[in-house]
Amino acid sequence: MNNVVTLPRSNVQTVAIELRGVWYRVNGRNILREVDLTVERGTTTAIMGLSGSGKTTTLRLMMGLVRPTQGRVFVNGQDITGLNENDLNQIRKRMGLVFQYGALFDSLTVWENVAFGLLRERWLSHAEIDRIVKEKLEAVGLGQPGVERLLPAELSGGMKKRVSLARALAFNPDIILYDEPTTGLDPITTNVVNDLIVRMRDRFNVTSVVVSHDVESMFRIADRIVMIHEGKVIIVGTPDEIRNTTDPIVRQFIHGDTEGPITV
Amino acid sequence: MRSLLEAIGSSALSFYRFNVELILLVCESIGFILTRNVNLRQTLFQMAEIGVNSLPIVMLTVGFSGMVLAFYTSAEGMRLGATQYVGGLVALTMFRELGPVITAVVVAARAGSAMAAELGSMVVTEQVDALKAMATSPVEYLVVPRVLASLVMMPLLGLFGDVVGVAGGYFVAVQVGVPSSSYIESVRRLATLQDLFLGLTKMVPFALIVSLVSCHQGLATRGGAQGVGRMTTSAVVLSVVMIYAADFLLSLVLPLP
Repeated sequence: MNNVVTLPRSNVQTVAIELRGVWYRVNGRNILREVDLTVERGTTTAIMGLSGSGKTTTLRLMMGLVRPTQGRVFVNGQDITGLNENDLNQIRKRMGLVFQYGALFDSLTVWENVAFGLLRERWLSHAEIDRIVKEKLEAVGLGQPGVERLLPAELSGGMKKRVSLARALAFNPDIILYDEPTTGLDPITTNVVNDLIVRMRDRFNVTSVVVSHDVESMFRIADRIVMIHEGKVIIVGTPDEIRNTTDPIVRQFIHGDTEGPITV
Repeated sequence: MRSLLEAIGSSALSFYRFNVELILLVCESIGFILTRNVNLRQTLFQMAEIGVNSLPIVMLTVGFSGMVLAFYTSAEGMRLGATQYVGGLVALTMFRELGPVITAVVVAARAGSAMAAELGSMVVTEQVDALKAMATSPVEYLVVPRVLASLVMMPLLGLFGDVVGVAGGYFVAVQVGVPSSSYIESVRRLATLQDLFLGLTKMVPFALIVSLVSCHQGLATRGGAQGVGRMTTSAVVLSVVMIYAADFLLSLVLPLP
């Protein structure tokens, strides 16, 4: 890991993820424009915005799945912008990503999906892996016997999302990134997932970044809310600050008004 | 004029990019193999998928080709009174050329298309990103097992194809009127084990072409179902063209027995 920029020690203790002056361009189109964003350690940050505003790209940048066209991304104090895949993998082992549609491996059973990363760690016994898988499935409300033997094609959309969440939790990561964790879930399962995100922060000091359209859920779980609009961060604040803002774009978004500065 | 130049430039750029990416994929795969980062379970599964499941179609296609070849050769042999050459000609053609090439083309169509479609679907459903997010290289987990399985199974398929092709030829030649002993004796006299090995040697580069091109096209998929379909087609087309081009070059390079 040569020529790698690291954050000062004091910042590393308080900052889990930092995006500094990040631009992301695809086919001549700016997806993100000079985004500066800091995610405090042990907090839940929600990123909201219209579809196509660059929210998911922000998550992918944090995970190192795409590289910024310009600017720098720091995770746990380390600049990941220019890291090779091997070095990135060391960073990713301390992170989890919950995909919007689950992204489960469809040739593997639920058990194998959740155990996927664990099976690659040769120091873990099969019994230990089995215990972790069952514990994580139970944590997401899928503790019923027999679920672990199902294939992803046999699961509902909500179950897929929860298995994806269990898979992300398997390594007890410091940072979990959620891409639309509650979209498409019934109200009860939505609350199960929201409670889990809150519990991960309160019990294990996990840093969470949640990308969502679900305004109610965000107000419930987030310590800080960020809104991205047309590739730029337009507001950062606590749920109360966001709720009481006078910014017309933010107000229109959180109230879902059809009239206003945002035209769809 | 300008759009024509743009089209030529864009095609040249795509061709250059394809070659560079393919070379990088080869290097990365070799790196994982040399450092023994090979997923044995996936490799065995792919061996069954590429080898065992392709066996019936390989035997059918190469078998029929041997039968057609024997039919035409026998007819001419009977007319010219040269039936003592029929078996040898069929065997030589099967061993050196038809067996390996048809086997490779059939595997490209059957297993190569499946590889491209499967990997392409994994890309569009974010499963490849999920692998990366779990600190697993898609090349290590998806490409290396397919390359190794192809390298092991395709020469074996070629061998089965050769045997079935010559046997199919025997069946037809005898029906047409070539004496059974003459066919067998001709095979023994004209075709050698070296001819068989020459053909099977070709299967190694063919296996690399099918597996690497198909995996590359699969991983390069963008967009949804349409992208998967497009890359699956291009995987098969590119593999088949490269198999024939490699066959020509190998015929010039490999010494005749």
